[in-house]
Amino acid sequence: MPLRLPSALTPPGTVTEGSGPEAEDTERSALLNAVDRFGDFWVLGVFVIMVLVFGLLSPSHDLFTRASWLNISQYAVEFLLLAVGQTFVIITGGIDLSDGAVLGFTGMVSGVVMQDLLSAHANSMLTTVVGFATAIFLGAGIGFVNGFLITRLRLPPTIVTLGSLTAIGAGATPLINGGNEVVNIPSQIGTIGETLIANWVYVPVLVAGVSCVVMGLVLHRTRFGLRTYAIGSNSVGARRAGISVDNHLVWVYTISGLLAGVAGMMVMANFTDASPLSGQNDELNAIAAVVIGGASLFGGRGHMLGTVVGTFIIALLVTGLVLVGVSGSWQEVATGVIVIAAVAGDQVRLRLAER
Amino acid sequence: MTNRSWLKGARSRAAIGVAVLGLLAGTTLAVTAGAGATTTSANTKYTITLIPGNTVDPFYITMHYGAIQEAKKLGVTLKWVGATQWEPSVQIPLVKSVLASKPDALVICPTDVVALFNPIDEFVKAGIPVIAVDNTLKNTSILTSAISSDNYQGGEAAADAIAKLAHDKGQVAVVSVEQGVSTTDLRQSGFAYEMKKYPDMKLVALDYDMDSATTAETQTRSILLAHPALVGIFGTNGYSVEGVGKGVDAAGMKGKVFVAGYDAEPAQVALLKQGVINILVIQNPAEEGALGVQYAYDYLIGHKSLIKKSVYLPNVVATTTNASNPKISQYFYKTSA
Repeated sequence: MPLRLPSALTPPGTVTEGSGPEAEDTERSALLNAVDRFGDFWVLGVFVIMVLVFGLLSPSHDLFTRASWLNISQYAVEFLLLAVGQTFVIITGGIDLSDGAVLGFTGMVSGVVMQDLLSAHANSMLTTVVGFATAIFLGAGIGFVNGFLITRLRLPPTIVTLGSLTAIGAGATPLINGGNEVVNIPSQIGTIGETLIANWVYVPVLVAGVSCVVMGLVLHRTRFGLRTYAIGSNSVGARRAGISVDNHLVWVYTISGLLAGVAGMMVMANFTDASPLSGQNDELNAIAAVVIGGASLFGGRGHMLGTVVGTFIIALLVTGLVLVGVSGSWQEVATGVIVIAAVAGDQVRLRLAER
Repeated sequence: MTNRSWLKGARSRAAIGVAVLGLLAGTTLAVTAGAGATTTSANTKYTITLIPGNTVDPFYITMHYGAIQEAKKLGVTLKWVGATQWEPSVQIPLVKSVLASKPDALVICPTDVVALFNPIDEFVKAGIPVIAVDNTLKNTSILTSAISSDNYQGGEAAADAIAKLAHDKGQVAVVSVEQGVSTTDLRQSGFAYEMKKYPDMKLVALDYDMDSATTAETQTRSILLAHPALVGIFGTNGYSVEGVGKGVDAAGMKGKVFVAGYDAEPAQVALLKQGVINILVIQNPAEEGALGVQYAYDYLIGHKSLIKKSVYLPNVVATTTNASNPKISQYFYKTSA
């Protein structure tokens, strides 16, 4: 599927770049076209090179095993879900710093709800359904509030979502259940997390995968996606074109919150408990994944497939460095370097495009 | 420091909160602190105030419990004042307000080894003895006593317990929090040093999970892939060992690779009982609190010779096998005092 990257990286509605590689533009030099094409593919290239390097360096090539795939894909779940929502937000030129905190908060609230239902002898199936619904609606609700504050009070997304991060992550979450992990939740939730489909795919990985595909289609194949790009490229222009920019942004932040709620449930399914620490600093990995995937923090550019590749690059760093025996601290260094390289590469490309 | 991981997260988030919200709204304390205070009264002339690292961590709740029991025994009044977060910028104003209330003695877990020196020194200058529990100060000269768990010994105990289960041979790994955290660094060095005593055992991997159980899990699974001969992994705090236990379980190695960890909050105890975690090194916060109160009392009644300047309390080792034994389970951390 990587072949679809170029056209989608310069989606319809993009104002900063009126031309994709397919566009016939005689002014464009061969060099520029080459740079453009390299820019589109380089993330995937980096990923492939990393897979090969870690795979060949790891003792007995452990990276190329089923166990390794299960490990990496399971680790990627929560970052993937957050990054999918973050992709929409970043394409509109915004940012959601609160999604990691929302993950932890929704997980804790849902955990406490389930704990109370269980102690009231509710059916565990019902409890699970109510718990899931709580997390999803709560996440969407917080996202809605973020979007509402950003659009109606005209506050910068950085400030609103940083406020949410602080109020929820540092203020509210530690107060739930006295700051303790919630242990008494239905054991079926853990079973869901452990269940393998066709021996290769954990249920949470499937959930994240389906979310990627559905939201990828929404982004690249619907009017909603088109408007997302239009707002990020030129919000004034989008407004003049009759797009209800404010309502659209509220939806985008609501989606981000909702997916953070889903991520909260997936983390809970993994550990069979709800932890106030879950999601801490996850927003940074999610943003990094989106940026590595080729999105511009100035808005208007980004691609779902790029986000998926970006997420797996981060997941691969964590597991790959351990496999080759490099201390885990280097993982942070490597992630930082790759993010800067991604943004720098992007800037070089834009500058060349402006010539 | 207990290294309950959210402390650090809360700390960094609160730091952001202080920087941004403080500027914006001036409501930082309301958002990030949520201070709490309770009093355990008795009809006496002595009032001792206990300021924990935070008020929600079971470790400190258990410390409070121990202090309450001791205060009742000695017939002193105990006050408990703290914030929900491990955060010096929140603790310092609390400490200052406690000084204004003029207690007879202060028992405190300083949330920073340097930043709390001056606020604590104010007490000493006012003639109020100060005893540090759990964490300490860099300059201990002003403290009447410093009481903490022996983290190095805890690491050694974890190593011995894994060695015993693995019959003294095989490869082991450590998943710790991050470099530069004094408590977990000591646990990790104690573990590494003790392992050298076993000629057929070798420490082959050391990773840092940056306070994330999810990361600890994936690192564990990677370690298991890279080192098929592994027999044990030590997670140096509660969240690390939770991720390690889950990783070993998910890789289908439960019972083949032994998991040792730290602290005994409800989540870790549950995993210990399930056998996902095989060994827990448990600190004794109740004793820290009780001894802190006792030393304060000794000082006040003039029995200063009974006070040791520095105390390292030994840890308790719980295993899946002895987890239900009341002699062990009495040390599990409490969620209410």
